[in-house]
Amino acid sequence: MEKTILSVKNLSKTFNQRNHSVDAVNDISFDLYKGQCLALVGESGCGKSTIASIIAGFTAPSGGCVMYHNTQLSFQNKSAQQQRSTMQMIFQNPLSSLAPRMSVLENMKEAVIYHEKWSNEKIESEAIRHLVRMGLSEKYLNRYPHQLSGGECQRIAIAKALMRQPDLLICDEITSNLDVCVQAEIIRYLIELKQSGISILFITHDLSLTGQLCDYIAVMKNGKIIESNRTEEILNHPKKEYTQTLIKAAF
Amino acid sequence: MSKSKINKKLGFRLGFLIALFFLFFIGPFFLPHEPFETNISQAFLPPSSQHIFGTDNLGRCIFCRIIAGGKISVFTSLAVMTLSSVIGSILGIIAGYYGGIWDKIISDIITVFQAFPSFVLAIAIAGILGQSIKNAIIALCAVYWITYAKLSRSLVQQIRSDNYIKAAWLCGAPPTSIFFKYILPSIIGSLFITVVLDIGSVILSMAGLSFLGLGAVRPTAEWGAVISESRNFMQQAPWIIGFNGLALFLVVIGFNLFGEAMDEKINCK
Amino acid sequence: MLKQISKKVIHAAFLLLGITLVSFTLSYLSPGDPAQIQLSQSGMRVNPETLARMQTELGLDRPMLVQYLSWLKGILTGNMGFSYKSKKSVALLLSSALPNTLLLTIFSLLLMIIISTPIGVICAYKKEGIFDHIIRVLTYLFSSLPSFFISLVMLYIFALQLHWVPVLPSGLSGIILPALTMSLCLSAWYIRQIRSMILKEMEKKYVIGLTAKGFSDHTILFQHVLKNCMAPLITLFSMSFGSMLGGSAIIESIFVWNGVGKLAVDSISARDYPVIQGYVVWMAILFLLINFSVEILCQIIDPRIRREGLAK
Repeated sequence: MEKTILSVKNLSKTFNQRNHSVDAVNDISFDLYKGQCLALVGESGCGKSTIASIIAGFTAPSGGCVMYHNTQLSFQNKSAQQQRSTMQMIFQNPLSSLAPRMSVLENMKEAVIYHEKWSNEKIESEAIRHLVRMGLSEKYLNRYPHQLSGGECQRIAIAKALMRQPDLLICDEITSNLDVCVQAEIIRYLIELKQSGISILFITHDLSLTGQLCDYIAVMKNGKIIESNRTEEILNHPKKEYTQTLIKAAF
Repeated sequence: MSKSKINKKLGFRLGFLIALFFLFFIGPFFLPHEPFETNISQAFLPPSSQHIFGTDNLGRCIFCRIIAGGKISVFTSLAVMTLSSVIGSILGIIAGYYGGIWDKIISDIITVFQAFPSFVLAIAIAGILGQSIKNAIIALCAVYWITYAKLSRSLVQQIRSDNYIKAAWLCGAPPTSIFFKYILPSIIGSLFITVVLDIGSVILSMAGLSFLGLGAVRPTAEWGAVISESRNFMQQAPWIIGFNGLALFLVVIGFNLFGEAMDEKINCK
Repeated sequence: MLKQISKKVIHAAFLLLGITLVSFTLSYLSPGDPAQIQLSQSGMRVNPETLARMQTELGLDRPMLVQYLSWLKGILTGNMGFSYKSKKSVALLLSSALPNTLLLTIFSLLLMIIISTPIGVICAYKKEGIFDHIIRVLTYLFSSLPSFFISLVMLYIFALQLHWVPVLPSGLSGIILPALTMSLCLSAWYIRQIRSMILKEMEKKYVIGLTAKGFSDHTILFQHVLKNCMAPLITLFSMSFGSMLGGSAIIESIFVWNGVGKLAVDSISARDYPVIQGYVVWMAILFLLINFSVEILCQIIDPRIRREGLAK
């Protein structure tokens, strides 16, 4: 029996604006197993990023709950941060993911110092190790984000997220702003990570990225999951028309 | 404009301000005449080699009094600026970062304070609390804090949704770390420029309060107060008002020009 | 449209509540004891008995909230207390002084518009020319000088030296110098604002389009650019009301013009708190009313703002 890392049950989120309310997320449920990758696929505005926000604790849900490591996650209080200490997230816009006034090394340090008491040498050597794995080098440690390209920033953000070996990595459209070569490299790298035991929640609007990386796919439309299954099943035998449209657009 | 030109401009203007500081804080120790000593026989002397700016109705040397009074004009304005920017910014940051009920309360307070024409509020507060420099400082702080609260609130709102702040929270950073390492460095540049550009206006407002009899108490040589006292002798000794006004003018222009040069330098980065 | 206005009225009502609360708290925090002041003003002896009696008479022994509510009720019925100095009704004093201030403010505003608008337009039109540079220096000068200094200089030059106007105003002619001074002080800032507003508007793409079509600079400026600047300009002018209402205190004092500003300054020297309290509330209400009317005016003039408002 595969161990369940993350379990989302009947999650919903309603935004109240002026005269009307928007059901961004409507009764969503899914499970993510250890060492597996689940893709949340759908077009912009279907609610995928909101789900990521809720799991990461940036927003509180209107209904439902999130179980992580068999603990129910709380929101917007002290323990909310504690419970998520083995969770990391990578964002869509690489240029705003790193603190602009801190060097790369200082940025990566931030991922460590609130949980561990590592020495400066250990932090530096770990940082170099992860940078090298992402195809960068130790020369980057003293650079600042505005001196780097989008692809470099994104890779540093991933390296930073891996500093303490997280159990869950949430990737919110992390390759949308990158060119195709960098995209392919990052996907390859994520596959390696999965094999070392890290679970990945991969959010994207592009089905073509999911073939090799993801074990399961959940297709979302207007806040609801309309179809979810193993990757081969979805890609080869899609049941819903919307899924078929997405596949046609991607491949 | 080239970088070296900007730096030169900034350097000159900063130099001017530093010179002013020396003049007003060290100068009083080297005055040729005693600024508070009265000598009626020497009253109303026009500018001469003995008294470069002339004397006032009590025979006091105007030049010396201007130098002596400068400390107050400049120091009180800096006090107002520091207090109002710190208090205003903290409130604005709380409103911008935490949002929700804090934002509502603080924004409502800002709106109510903004409903008053600023100088009206200042003279009312100073008037009711009584004539003293401390009360004038309180009155002006009550008016100027609003600018900083609004500015810092909007700056924080802009960066609050930036991903690196969310990432910091997820990495376990406590609110103090987020505030000092992430938020403050991003907003302090804009806040500082606004402070420098506002100092001129605070100096003028403070002089205005003193002019109305609400700030400095006699026999302090605060420039606004002196101008007010000399109203009655405008015909006989217009130079009293003239030179005190000139002093105000130079200090205000000094700060404004410095602020603009600083603004240019930061925006060119 | 009606719904918007009613929303604004409710918002304004809350604001007024806040304003009255602040004004009242201000007085409540004042160091002087109103009972003591009343007694000494009327020449009575101050001892614990008379003090206690006066306090009860003035209602000072009631809790703060009750005092505030009764003062508020008084305001709504037009009773704002009585001046310590002259014993007259505060509302009476303010209402007889207010027309003078309004007169001065409106006249100054008109003068300011007449002075700064053409100069600002010319500066923008002939950007970086000699005229522009001279005006830039002058406006910089004027905005670095305190209004009381400029007032005294004007008084010195025009009244004492040139004798064009009498030092003490008699009747309407006394408005010329203070209005001129006030408008000069504000024009400095306005000329720069108008100039930069027009320049910004001229950088917009439609101006390039019009130039390409062959319209003369003249036509573009007057028939298009200025029209689009109308609404923001009006908002800008309305903002100056705040500065004028505030600056009136100093200017009215110097030129001995019997408006609310002078009344306030005199009351401050006499520690006449009820008058100061009334002054603050009235000025805030006036300011609110003006901003309110300007917003509505802008909505009527500029269809873009109207549409934006409806979409909300």
